[in-house]
Amino acid sequence: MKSEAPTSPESQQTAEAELVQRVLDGDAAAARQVVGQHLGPITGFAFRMLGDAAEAEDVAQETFLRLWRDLPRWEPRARLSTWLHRVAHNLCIDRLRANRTTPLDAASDPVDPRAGAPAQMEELQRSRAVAAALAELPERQRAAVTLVYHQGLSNREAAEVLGVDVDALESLLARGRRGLRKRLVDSAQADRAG
Amino acid sequence: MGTGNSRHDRMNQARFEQIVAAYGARPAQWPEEERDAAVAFAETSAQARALLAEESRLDLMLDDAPAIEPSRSLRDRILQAAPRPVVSLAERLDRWASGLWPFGRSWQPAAVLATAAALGIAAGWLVPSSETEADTADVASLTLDDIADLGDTQ
Repeated sequence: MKSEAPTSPESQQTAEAELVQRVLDGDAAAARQVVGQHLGPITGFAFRMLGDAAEAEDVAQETFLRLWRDLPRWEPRARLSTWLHRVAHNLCIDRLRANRTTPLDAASDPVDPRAGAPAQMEELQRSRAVAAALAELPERQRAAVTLVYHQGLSNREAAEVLGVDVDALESLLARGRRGLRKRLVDSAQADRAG
Repeated sequence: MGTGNSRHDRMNQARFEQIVAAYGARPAQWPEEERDAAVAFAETSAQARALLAEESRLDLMLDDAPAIEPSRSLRDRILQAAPRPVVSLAERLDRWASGLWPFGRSWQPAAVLATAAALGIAAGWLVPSSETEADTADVASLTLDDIADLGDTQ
């Protein structure tokens, strides 16, 4: 008989439930493990949604503080990653609506322009172009594309984060990708033709 | 491939185009339950392969989206707020005792004191008393008489 693989969804769920219990018991190593696994992706998600590193860190901090607060009521069926993305997404939407900001500065110096190497400058320009194109998308489309494409969530997980069904997610994704293609691929072709 | 023919049959050009339009050209991002069928469909359709080639250009561009790493101070702030261990009553008593006896393990002087107290109580119970209540009264009255005598002699 074939034994169950340790990476099956069931065993992952069990391992995550045990990890959550250890965090609740005050196990500092377990808390470090949770933060080590999820802080980077959550900060990255908030950064792509908001386009501002300081605001992204604020959202990530608030997301984890809510995790610590809500852990005693944790439902083992929920996945930590999905729960964290949902909270971070809601916080990002709140900020975007409160500030009416658009993340146009999202590509803020990932590469030092003083380095001056043509390859690095080209990378910086590409990064800025993608950030600007993402920023111009409606926030729900931006969130859908980022969750599936950059965060690696499955279609069901991304739909759960956004509070929609999978059909609605696919509609958001398709419209988002159409918008990005128009801004990135078509404009690049137009530049070359010109 | 592990998929049955029935799943492969359900995949058609229209659904394949929907999948690629939404999820891009990388099978890893396609819906898990349709992935094998879509991959198999692409292997048999030149039109599907052309669509993948077109869509993969956008995927490559999206790879260049900017990213950041969370700062060390953010990580530290979050960990400082993490749940603390639940301290039992015994542990709290031990910490309180450690404050009274900072020279080592607090159970050692506590054990010495407890032993001394137990020996004292045991001695009180076990050693027979040499005085009765009457004896005690006599002694008390004698003492008072003596005091009176002393007053008379002065």
